[in-house]
Amino acid sequence: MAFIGTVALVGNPNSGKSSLFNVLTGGSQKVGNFPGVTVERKTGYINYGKEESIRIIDMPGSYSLYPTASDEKLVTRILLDKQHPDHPDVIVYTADANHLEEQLLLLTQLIDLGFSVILTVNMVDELKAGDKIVRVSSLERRLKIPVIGVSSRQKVGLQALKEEIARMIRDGQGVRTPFYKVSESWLSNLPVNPEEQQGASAFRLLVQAHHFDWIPDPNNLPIEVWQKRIKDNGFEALNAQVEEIYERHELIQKLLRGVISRPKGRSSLSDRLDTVLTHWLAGPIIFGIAMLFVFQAIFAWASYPMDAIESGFGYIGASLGNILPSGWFNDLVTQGVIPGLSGVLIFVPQIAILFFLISLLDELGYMARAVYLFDHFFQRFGMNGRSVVALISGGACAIPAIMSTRTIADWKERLITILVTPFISCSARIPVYTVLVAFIVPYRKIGIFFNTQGLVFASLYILGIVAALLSAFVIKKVLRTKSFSFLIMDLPPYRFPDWTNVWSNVRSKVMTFVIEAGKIILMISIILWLLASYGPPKKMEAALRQAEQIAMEGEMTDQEAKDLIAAHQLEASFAGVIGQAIEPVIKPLGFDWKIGIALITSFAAREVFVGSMATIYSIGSEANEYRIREHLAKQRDPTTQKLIFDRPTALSLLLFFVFAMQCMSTLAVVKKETDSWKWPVIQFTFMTATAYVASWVGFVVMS
Amino acid sequence: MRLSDLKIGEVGILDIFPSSYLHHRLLTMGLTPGKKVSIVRRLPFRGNLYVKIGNRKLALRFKEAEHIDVMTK
Repeated sequence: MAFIGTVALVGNPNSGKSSLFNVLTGGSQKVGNFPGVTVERKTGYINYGKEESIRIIDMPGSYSLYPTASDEKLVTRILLDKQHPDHPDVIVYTADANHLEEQLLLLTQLIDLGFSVILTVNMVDELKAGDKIVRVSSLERRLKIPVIGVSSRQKVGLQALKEEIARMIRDGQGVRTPFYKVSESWLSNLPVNPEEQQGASAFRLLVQAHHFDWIPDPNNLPIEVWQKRIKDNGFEALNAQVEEIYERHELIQKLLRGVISRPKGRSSLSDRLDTVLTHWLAGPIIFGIAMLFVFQAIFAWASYPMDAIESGFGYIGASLGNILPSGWFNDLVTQGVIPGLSGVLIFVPQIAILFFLISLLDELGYMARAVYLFDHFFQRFGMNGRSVVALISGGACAIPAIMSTRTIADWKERLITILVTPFISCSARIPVYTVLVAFIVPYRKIGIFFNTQGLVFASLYILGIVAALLSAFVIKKVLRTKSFSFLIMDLPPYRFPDWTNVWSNVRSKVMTFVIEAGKIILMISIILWLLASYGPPKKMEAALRQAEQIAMEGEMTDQEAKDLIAAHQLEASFAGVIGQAIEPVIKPLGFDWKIGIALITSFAAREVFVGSMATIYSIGSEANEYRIREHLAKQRDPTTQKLIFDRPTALSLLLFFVFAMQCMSTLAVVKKETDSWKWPVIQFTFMTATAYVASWVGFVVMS
Repeated sequence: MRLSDLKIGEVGILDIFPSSYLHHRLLTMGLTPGKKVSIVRRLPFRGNLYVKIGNRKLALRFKEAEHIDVMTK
């Protein structure tokens, strides 16, 4: 199979671009990141017979070559930098038929840059209902580029589009007169060849003048040259851009005269829904109920696949343990790799269900309403309405949540959202909460719906939300960066979800988690196995002997003896040494060195804590949460005979888990998203400090 | 008159834009002077506005609407 070219799908947000990408590429999609940045990159292939295929890249939605958000910036960079590996040969530009006039700005810029462009007028199926007609053939004559009416939902126009793409890649496009004429007086002041001042090159020069500080110059001119040119020319970027866009819109309006028949105004179902859903009082209440349902669904639906994954890996681990010859490799696989993989995949059901529901609400058009409703509230905390999506996603996993913040254009608002999202209780905290809550209050029913432990559980979640908001407020006050943020956001009509979009979104979020978090969780899992199974040799030897002795004297069963040996060896291992070393630090919180070991191991993923506690207290690591709880409740301090898991210690531990930054994968993603070590270090420090203080206060007050 | 001063249901027309980042944003989104604009509903405490511009519905902040000039008949 020969690749004959690269096609980029470009268009405004809400232009139906993703749907078109999904139907064009079908099952051949690959989701990853653009090189060097964490902007999601979706690619797919269209095959032409058995011989040839082309690569399609779905570009993030953008409005013009003058970007505001970071993903929009990336589109500009790829389109302007001919050396970029994703630089396209042909562009397929998508525009929504209902808003054609408003969505052609970027198209005219791309034509002026000299790209071979095909315009697809999307959602033609909705036009019939809207009494609006787009005359494709006259549009084609006036734009002098191929125009194809398509409908991703009803699979209209796709074959024609594919054929046109192939033709365009073979033949390219002829030279056209530019839409926007770059001012001659400006050009004449530039010391460049006269032929560079013609047509596409002239506009490219203008764009370079706007972006000289971050887009490589096509002729490799140094930045200083552009700085000088701009100064000498008295060039004011903002004025020049506004002027250009103005002129382009005028041209577009002229061009579309007679091409579109205006729709009749009518009160649609969308408007009637919005009177309730965006009502100042009813709106937030309905949103709250919807979110309760979402989280209820996550807990109810995810438990079955999670149990299956857990027992599946248990079975695989046990079988491999029997097949492989015993020794370090067997241990590495059964105690390092398999639990690591299991620890990654166990979160997949919850993450998949949460993103399924969020994408569904987004596809329906509801998430934009939530942004409208909550933006004002979040502004007070230095965040943006779009932070709602990140904070809710944080309820499943902070990693995809933090990645979703790249739609927030303002850097300060985005940074604050990234920094506080990990305070939201994620799914990895649930097993820890489940085990520890019972030490706080005994189970008692309150009324029909509530019980004591459920209320404690809920208050831990609320505590996380409050911590997120308060720290956002503090960061807002401390950060000096000025914020230039806008809301100005389309409220698209409510429509039935496009299931391929929902599915593709869920898939990409899950893949992101598995790849980004997975590699780190797996790596740490192996390191932890090393730390927990090896130690100073003499100490390990002595621990083994001592445990065997106790087992003999106590006439223990085989299983009991095995668990006891495991506990003693862990105590003597490097992990145990570290646990004992940090004991003075965690003593004021009511934690002993055993809890210290478990805390260290929980840096891979918080839920590892439960398994570590099981091993340390020789319960056997296969025990379920209920059995672990029973055993922990009986543990006493060997010297004072005080219960270890009394109320103060349990509360202190719970508070620690609510606030502490115990997730290496999240820190790695924050490093990537903020492009510096500064922010993850600050985040780790303030979250862990908050946790320490909160635990200490909790412990002291309860004692 | 400013967009934020419009009463609910009152129709105005977007006036000429000055050069500013806000107006740059509006222009790139295809929201151009001369289009009809009205406020559909507001959130309390100078909260966000639900506006209609042309045949599009948009969410705007109050402080954004304060910087957009409109003409009324």
